[in-house]
Amino acid sequence: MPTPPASFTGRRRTRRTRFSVKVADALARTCITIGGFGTIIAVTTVCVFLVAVVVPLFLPPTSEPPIVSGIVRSGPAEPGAPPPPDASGAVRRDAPGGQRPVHIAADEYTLLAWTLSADGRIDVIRIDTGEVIDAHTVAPEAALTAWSLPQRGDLCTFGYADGTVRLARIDFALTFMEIEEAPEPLRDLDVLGTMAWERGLAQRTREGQIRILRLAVDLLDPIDSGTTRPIIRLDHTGTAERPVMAWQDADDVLRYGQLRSRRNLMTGRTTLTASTHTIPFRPRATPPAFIRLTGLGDNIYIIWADGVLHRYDVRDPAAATVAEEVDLVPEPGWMLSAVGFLIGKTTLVTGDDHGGATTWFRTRVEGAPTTDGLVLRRASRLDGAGAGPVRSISSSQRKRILAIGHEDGRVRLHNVTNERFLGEVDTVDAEPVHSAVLGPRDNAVVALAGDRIYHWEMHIPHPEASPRAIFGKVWYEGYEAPAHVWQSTGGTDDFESKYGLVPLIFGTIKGTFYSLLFGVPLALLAAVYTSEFLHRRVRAIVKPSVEMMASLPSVVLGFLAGLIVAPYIETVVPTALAALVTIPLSFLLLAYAWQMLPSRARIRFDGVRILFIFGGIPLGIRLASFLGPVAEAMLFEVRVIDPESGAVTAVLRDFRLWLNAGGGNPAYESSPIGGWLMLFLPLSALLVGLASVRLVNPFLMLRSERWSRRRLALADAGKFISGAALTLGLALLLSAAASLIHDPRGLYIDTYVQRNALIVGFIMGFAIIPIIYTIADDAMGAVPEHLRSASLGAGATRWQTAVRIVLPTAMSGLFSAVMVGFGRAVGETMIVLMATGNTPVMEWNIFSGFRTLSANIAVELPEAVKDSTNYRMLFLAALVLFVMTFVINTIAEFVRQRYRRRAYQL
Amino acid sequence: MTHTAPVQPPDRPIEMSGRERILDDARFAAMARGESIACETHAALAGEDTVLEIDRFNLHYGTVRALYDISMNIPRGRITALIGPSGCGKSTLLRSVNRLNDLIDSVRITGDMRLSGDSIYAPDVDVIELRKRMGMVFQKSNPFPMSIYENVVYPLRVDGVRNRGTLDEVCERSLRGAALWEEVRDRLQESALSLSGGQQQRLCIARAIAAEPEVLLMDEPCSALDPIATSKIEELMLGLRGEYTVLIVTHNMQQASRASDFCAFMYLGRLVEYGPTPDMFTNPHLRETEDYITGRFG
Ligand SMILES: Nc1ncnc2c1ncn2[C@@H]1O[C@H](COP(=O)(O)OP(=O)(O)OP(=O)(O)O)[C@@H](O)[C@H]1O
Ligand SMILES: [Mg+2]
Repeated sequence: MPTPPASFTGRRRTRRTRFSVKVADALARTCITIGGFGTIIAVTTVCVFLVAVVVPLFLPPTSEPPIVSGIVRSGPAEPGAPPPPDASGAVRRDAPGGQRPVHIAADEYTLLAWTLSADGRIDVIRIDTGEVIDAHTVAPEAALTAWSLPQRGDLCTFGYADGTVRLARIDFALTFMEIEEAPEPLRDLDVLGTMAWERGLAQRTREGQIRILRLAVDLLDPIDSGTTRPIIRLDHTGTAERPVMAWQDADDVLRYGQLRSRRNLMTGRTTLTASTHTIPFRPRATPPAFIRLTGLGDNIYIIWADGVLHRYDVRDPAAATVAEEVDLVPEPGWMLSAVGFLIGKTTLVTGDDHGGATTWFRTRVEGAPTTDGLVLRRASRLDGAGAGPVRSISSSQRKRILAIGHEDGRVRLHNVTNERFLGEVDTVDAEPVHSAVLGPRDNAVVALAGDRIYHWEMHIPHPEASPRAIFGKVWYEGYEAPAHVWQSTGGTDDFESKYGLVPLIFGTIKGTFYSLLFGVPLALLAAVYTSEFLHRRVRAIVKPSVEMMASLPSVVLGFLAGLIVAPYIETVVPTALAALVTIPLSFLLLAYAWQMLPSRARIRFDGVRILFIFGGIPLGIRLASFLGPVAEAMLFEVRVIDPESGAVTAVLRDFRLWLNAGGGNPAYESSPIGGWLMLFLPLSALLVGLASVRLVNPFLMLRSERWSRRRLALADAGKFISGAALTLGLALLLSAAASLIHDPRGLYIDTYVQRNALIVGFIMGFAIIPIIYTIADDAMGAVPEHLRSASLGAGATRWQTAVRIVLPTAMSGLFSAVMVGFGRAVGETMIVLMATGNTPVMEWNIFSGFRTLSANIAVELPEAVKDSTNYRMLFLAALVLFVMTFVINTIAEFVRQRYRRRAYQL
Repeated sequence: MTHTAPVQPPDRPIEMSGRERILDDARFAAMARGESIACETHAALAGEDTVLEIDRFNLHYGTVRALYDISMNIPRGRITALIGPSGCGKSTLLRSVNRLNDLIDSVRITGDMRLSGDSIYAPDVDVIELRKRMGMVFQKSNPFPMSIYENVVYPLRVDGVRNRGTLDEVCERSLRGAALWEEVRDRLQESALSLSGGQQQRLCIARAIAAEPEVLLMDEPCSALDPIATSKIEELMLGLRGEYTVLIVTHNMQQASRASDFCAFMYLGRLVEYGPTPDMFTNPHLRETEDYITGRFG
């Protein structure tokens, strides 16, 4: 009989794995795989979604093939059968004796257009057929000699051969009626179907109403312009109530008029009164070609075809002068063929006979030789790419898009600010483009070329977006120089959205930098302390408490920072800054004081040592409240200078005034030493500390072998005091040297703003401390105990053990801790949202605010219209944030792996 | 105080050897009651110059008592071996000598030790200075995650020694002493963790002797070593004899008999018998000692 094999425990083990165990194993494996892939898919999906929203920003505009229609000179009297189409597919019939139109404008729906002919005739034309459905004239008496048409709105001005000037309001008027109330023929219209109706165009809307579009022309009475000679150049600006005009008659006499319109409530008639000034004109050999009035009516530009511009400063019309003369052509010999304005009439656009266009605006220039301190400077150049001479320039009514009509029949669209060429459309038979405009909604281009009207449906989604404008410096209208700017919304209609992400990226980095500067040392030191020095039992209380801090909602921290800390710190800036030095100093002082106690006392009171040393906080604050104002009085003295006599009128000792007094402000005089001291004090403390560890300590160690503890403590104290003195001396020396080279104001300190980077650094530091602390503490806790034993057994102190063994061993974990804190700081939203002013400025000034990518998204996304440029830009900001954290994490992981490997391979 | 040490008299009948032994049932009974016992200390120890004096030393891990009233004098310049079954408190006693047990929160001690007359457990002792007078080799090798070179010179680094020449010399001599030099002379800058287990242990020995300690505490230094390395370590110990005091824990009876001058037998947290090694191995006073040494129990 075979004996069963021996058994230790009295049972026999089944060697087959049970089915349920196998199932559980397979299930676990599947779940983990699904989870892993799910994570990857989720992240990828988010990324793809972001990219999908962002990509349309950079797609080029699209346009439909044109609808071409000739102008049918039928007139309102005979609305008849459409004339036969011609070879180009357009219907046309030449004008019977009339003059060619010179200007065109379209309504919002691009159904109707009106054209102005040189004889003063206004035709209202169906864009789809070219049929003229109404006609008016703006020259009922004298012959029309000059005109100025609106960029936006309805105010036009006309000048006549007899020297009179008339204002007119020309605009499309809409009337709606319910379909039941509509006259018989209109009821049969299909949805969106149109038909000419009583000098207008009727269309059935999607909502089932009939809308009738007519051109309303209200020509006001002539105004005496102060001359009887023909008016030959004319421009206007301003509102219908207070128009401003500038004009020249055939003798080139230049006049400037500010008009006031009053409406008589009884008769309904509008009367205009004008105050006219004759501006001393500086003539040249030839008569000028163009006159333009800036949007605010403060400058008149007189422009000659050879490119010379005289800028008249007419802020005070009675004392108007030529502020400057500018040469507008890119190369000598070129001629200007058209001029216009961008929306807002601030940026001048000049088109030349080589097909290119140049934009110009006034900027403030230090020491400019002009009367108003401004200089008209070239802002951008829009390349013609071989197109013929520019014939017409017109601006979009909402954006900075220019439609430039060329001699060879092309219409090119540019976005000015970022110099992005948006695309071009081409007329069929290369006839010169007299007038080309963008539809009021930027969704169409209507052009007048030869006798035909061209109409393109356009889709220009995001003209402002281009990589250059988003990540590069852009010269915005009125800015002194190209700059990185984020300013997505503004108060006025002609406000230009500025989508530069760089200030936001900068703000993110600045906020992160200052919060890490504060949080990382504190968190790491705290972790070293609790894991290496603190009694286990105390640690068991401290650690969870710090971790509790992490669960403090950041909105609460932000609230604290913005509403309590920031306003309070603002009142005690010098003390707060001094506290940054005095609190650590007090800790050190008390630690030395402890060493000076007799050893018996030290051992007896060992339990309260921590409490004793923590007395450093109140002591430091007390010291700071005393030293802060003293240092302020000593270092931050500002002498107020009377600008006329140069005499010192007052001497103030105020830190915040001192901050403002830098940067060449002539009203103040102050020494920059104090500002440098703030930087060099910690730096030289570091240097001196390092030197004492490297040089003095080994020396002391040799000498102090047989010294008593007391004597050692005294020597240490002496070292400490002389070190402090040395630090101060070194810092002063360095500061004095740096002061000779540069003023720190404008570098890392400048004007104090209540909600600033210091506050954010402080409070966000608190937000990231728990997370850094916890991970760092765990990392050091994971260092095997036997390494500590070995180090201590070799005679190392706890501090030496911590620095030489524990920190290097835990380095990869510590690095992760810092990186996780970094990630948290980069993405942190609520604190920066509430504790900074959210001003997207780009300066390292610790006393000013900033706006981060995340806070920007939180601020603007609720307001952003879906699929608008702003909306997509916010998604781009999110993508940038995503990429930033991705890159940081990747680098972090890479470095971490290296540290880890180094520990094993070296 | 609870006492949990399961004490059972050996269940096999103890074979009496030819010689007369002191009857020890009283001792077993005392141990079973959780009491301490008097150590059987040989008279030959009286003539020795004491370097480390252990004076009625007790140690508790929380509520568990690990050492019972240990009193022994470690003679200067000699090799003393601590033997005894696993878990009897040898490592605990060794760690108590340089106060590494301070790291464990639950440890409570009474009694004292004196190193050349200086109290080890007095309240105002500078523990760091004290530890610098002793080197320690642990049961489990524990090299630092640094280069081999830095591992060896670590005690000097801690003392602030910077002189490259000194460091190099100490490194080489220590490594030679630990019988490791030939193996690592070309890879001093490599990580210590790339060494084999036995090499790591010899590295730790090198690190301990680099500190030039008065007393070298070794906790089973050779348990992971092959016979060649073991004999080298023994050579080293014998070479150190005279100038240095070595206190070594070992489970290897041959090693204890070969390489030690004195031998202490511990059992269940008590020091049972302590005397010159030849006596302990050939003529122990107590029967337990003989049983343990001859492998009959433990
Ligand atoms: N850190 C500790 N906490 C609690 N009890 C401990 C601790 N270390 C050791 N002990 C206990 O103290 C007793 C003595 O342990 P010690 O490590 O000194 O034994 P040893 O003689 O070195 O054994 P070995 O020969 O197996 O190394 C054992 O019962 C052990 O369980
Ligand atoms: Mg042991």
